[in-house]
Amino acid sequence: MAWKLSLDGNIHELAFTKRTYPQEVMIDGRRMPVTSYMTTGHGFLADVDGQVGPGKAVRDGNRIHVHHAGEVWTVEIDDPLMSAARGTGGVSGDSMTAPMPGTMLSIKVSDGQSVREGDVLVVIESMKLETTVKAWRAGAVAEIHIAEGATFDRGDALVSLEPEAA
Amino acid sequence: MSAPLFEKVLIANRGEIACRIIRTLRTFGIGSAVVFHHLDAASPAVRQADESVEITGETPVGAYLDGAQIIEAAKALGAGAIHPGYGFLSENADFARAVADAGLTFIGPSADVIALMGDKVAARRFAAEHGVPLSPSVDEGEDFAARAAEIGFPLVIKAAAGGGGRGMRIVREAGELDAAIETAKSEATRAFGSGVVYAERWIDRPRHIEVQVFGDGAGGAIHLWERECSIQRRFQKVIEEAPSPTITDAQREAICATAVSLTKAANYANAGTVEFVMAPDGDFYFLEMNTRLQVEHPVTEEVTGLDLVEWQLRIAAGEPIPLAQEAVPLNGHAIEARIYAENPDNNFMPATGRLLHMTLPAAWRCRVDTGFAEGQAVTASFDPMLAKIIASGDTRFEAVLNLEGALNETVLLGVTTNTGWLGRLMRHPAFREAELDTAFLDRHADDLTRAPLSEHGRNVVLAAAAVTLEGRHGLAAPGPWGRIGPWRN
Repeated sequence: MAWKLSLDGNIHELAFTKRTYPQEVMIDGRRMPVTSYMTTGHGFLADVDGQVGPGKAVRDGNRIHVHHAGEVWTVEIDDPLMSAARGTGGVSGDSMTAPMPGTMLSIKVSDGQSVREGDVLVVIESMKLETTVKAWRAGAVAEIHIAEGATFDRGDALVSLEPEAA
Repeated sequence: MSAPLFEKVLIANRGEIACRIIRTLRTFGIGSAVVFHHLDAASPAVRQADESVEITGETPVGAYLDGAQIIEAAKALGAGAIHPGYGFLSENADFARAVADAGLTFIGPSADVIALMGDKVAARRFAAEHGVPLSPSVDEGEDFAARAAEIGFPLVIKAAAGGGGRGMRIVREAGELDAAIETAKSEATRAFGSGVVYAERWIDRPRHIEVQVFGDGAGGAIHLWERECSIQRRFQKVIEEAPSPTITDAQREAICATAVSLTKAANYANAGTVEFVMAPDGDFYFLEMNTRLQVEHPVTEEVTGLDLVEWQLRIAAGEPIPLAQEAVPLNGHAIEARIYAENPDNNFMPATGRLLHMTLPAAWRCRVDTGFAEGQAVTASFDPMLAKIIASGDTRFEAVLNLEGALNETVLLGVTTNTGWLGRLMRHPAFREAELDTAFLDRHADDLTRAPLSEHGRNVVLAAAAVTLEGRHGLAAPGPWGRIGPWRN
């Protein structure tokens, strides 16, 4: 079958075009010879396009972790549903979400309060490290989603600001 | 054959250091017992020990901090001594005292010395009284902020009960001082149960140099040379080496002699480490004394050929320090890299997950200390250190090359680690030239980011992913078996 694989933010199409020796794989429309030696465990040795690339790989749900030349690269099966559900920490829209599980230590602002960019909103603790969450833009505080002392998971919303006036 | 040093020792720890201690106990025919929280039930330490006892706690870490429960376990198993490892109860004076009160041997210094060195303010005062150089500092009290400002900027606020960088804030200008004191106090209160802080001059481009010492508890002490631990992120060590490549022979002599004089003055018993900060001009100042075995003790073992856990056991059993100072060897160079479950490309954020694949290096002049096994979960419950890779060489350059080779062979899949980043660090010209100080990683952060894959590398990675997805049958095996297909006789 053909695979749509995401690596470093780019989508690549890959298909086996010939499974018998000498084998062939097509990556992004280009055919190239591949030799794969599956060894015990998670080892493989792939000669791709005449150059050797030894390494190890393991599947982890929708992702495949590949060790190549001292670094680990994660390839993801590109599936539109999965991409939509993928939540990571940071600012998305008007909310700040948690990059790591943690605890809400203290809340420095109240709902409706106007804040300037850089003002401290809340203080959280993740992995024993205290971090201040600062306003990423000026605006009014819409909601603090986590109570003081309560814990949160990765991807949970921490603070929302009122949408910016158009 | 002489009687063993102890019949049985209980290890009040987990992970790699528990495995490390078991190895020495086994060498000397001493029975080994470990305590474990159920999260660690399948860990290598539990499998390797002769006996194990489950302990419980409100949190997993809480179980390993429950001294009363651990002493009960030791008594139940008939262990005559407790080795605390590092972290957890290793620098807890009350625990050391309770172990002694229970009629057991605590493998470490006396409770009084632990208490003295554990109070960073008292330890600094003690060091100053005994002629050990200190950088200018101010204790908390009336007008703390004003008196701290008199030290001059930059200065650093530290927790009196602290360690490991928590409750520590560098202040570069007067305007940041009040906020930094508040944050440091709050962090210290939650980390150590005490919000007492002090202020100290911050030395720019400082190096972290520490001296391994052993004392006999009666005023006798020697050193096992120094370690350079200047490569740190978040004030926590990542790379340690012995000997220090940045000091002269005269500086080595001075810093080691100073550490020994402090150890003698404290009537220190067993293994300890005296930590110093060294300024670019070679002046050095006392930071603190760690009253336990250090994470980075293997580099000292590699350059001296000595087993530090063996020495701890011998001294705890009442034997004298095994060697005279002049007889302590120093051969070649050793470097340790700490493999952490963390993402160096995202501010060293700790990572969790299951270790789906683990290949440890079998490289030239390389030693691996780990307490993890393939299949084990890496959780946020414990410290995210997965393994220590220690490489040696006749010269520092050889050790760097050997460590780089070992890191290339280290494959950990399923949880993000700093392994690739450590390899990049080994190739960095400034690291190879030993241009070290504690700001090294900040200064060279950009050079240490991961380079994008080459086109060939990208094809290899994609092909490997596809082969993995389709399993062993994705591609036929090459050679004669592949050619004749599935038929076998």
